[in-house]
Amino acid sequence: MSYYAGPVAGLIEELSKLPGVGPKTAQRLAFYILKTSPADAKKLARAIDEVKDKIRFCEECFNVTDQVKCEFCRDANREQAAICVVEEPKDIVALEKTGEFKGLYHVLQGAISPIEGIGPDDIRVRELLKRLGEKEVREIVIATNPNIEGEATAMYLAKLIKPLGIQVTRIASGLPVGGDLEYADEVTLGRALEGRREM
Amino acid sequence: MCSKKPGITAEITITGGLMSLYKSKGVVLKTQKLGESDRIITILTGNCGKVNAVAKGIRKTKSKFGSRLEPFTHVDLVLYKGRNLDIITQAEIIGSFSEIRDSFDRITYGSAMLDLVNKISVEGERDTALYNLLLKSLKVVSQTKKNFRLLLIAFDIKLMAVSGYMPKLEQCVICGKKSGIKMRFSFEQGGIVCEGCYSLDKNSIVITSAAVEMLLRLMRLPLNDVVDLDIIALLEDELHLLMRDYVTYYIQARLKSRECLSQLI
Repeated sequence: MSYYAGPVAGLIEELSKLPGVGPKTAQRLAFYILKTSPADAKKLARAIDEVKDKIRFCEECFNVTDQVKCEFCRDANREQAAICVVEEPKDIVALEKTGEFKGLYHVLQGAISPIEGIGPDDIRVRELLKRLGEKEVREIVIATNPNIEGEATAMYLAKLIKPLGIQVTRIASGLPVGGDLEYADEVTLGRALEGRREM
Repeated sequence: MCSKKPGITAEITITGGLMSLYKSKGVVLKTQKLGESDRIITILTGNCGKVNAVAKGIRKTKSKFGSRLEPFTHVDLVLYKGRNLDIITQAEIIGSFSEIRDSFDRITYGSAMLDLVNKISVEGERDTALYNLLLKSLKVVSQTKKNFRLLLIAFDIKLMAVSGYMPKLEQCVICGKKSGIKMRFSFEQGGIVCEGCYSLDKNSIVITSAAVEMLLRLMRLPLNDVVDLDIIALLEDELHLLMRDYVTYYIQARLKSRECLSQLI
């Protein structure tokens, strides 16, 4: 039995479907919305509506966009011959903040996970190969996560793309800046040593 | 419960409160995302059976766990009892099996092993034989360059044996007749059935005598010797399908890792 009037109960139920939001938080949020001005509440409703209405995947790289192609794919000033492969759109933001990469992106929308039964057909691998067939690409930078799924994906892509005569690189892994060496685990530290460079 | 056993619990008083800490060694079988930056880690431990525990903040780049709780890693853990899930407070690597991560074949076949162990092991139930088999198998997988599929077949049969599901292969399960040429394999009966008996199980499948012999051989042979065996592809295909169906029949669960094996290799 619900103790609240229909619309309030409905709002609480919808909010509690969000990740990390339990019934108590949902209740608090619902009452916050109830207290805000009608204009603010409408704004929120419109924003949700719009994001579902207008946002789609870029037909080139599968990043999220409100147009046919995303801003990176539309930008003619970016280096067209280098593609950085990432798992999620959020990863593009992280990479862009570095300002180190000037090429294009490709979002796989997941990673190969042998243990979960997620194979290359479940992510956007075929679309990447199609892109490589259509355009002149010199380098593929694989920036999948440095965990077992990300490594599996990277190795699978390298196996597929290298024979096409395209240079395949993997982002380096090692110690985070600002961290202490003594706390590093042996796998990470081992890789940091492996990838050391001359000064 | 496992933590109640003597020797592995330590009641430590921390600022007036009681917190139940325990130590365990184990192999990471699986990890699942939880919330914003945590993961649920599934570990097969030597003394507590399978344990599901939370590693807080592990997905952050500067997490103290680093690669210590990645699948395949053999770790030494300190955990404390939570209400639902235990929480991992410390982890040290015993063996990283990092060579597995360097090869796609090793990851794929190694994952098939972890998946099966995850499905067959029980939370809180200690199974030393299973634990030792897994460690041994990962060691062999991390060092080999070939024969992965045969290794998986041998792993399957050995795992079924330590779990009490070893199929009867020397004689007919029903009448005890010594194995002959026209034999079939019955999942339901758990072994081979002779010509006279196979009408009792309509779902029994044809099995060649070469396959029966090879299974018996794989059962006895240590895993590091399996890698050097040379068997014909047709026989390996037969055994691969047979063992895949046999383990799926007995664990009564989908093995997703097997379903995508064919897509990956």
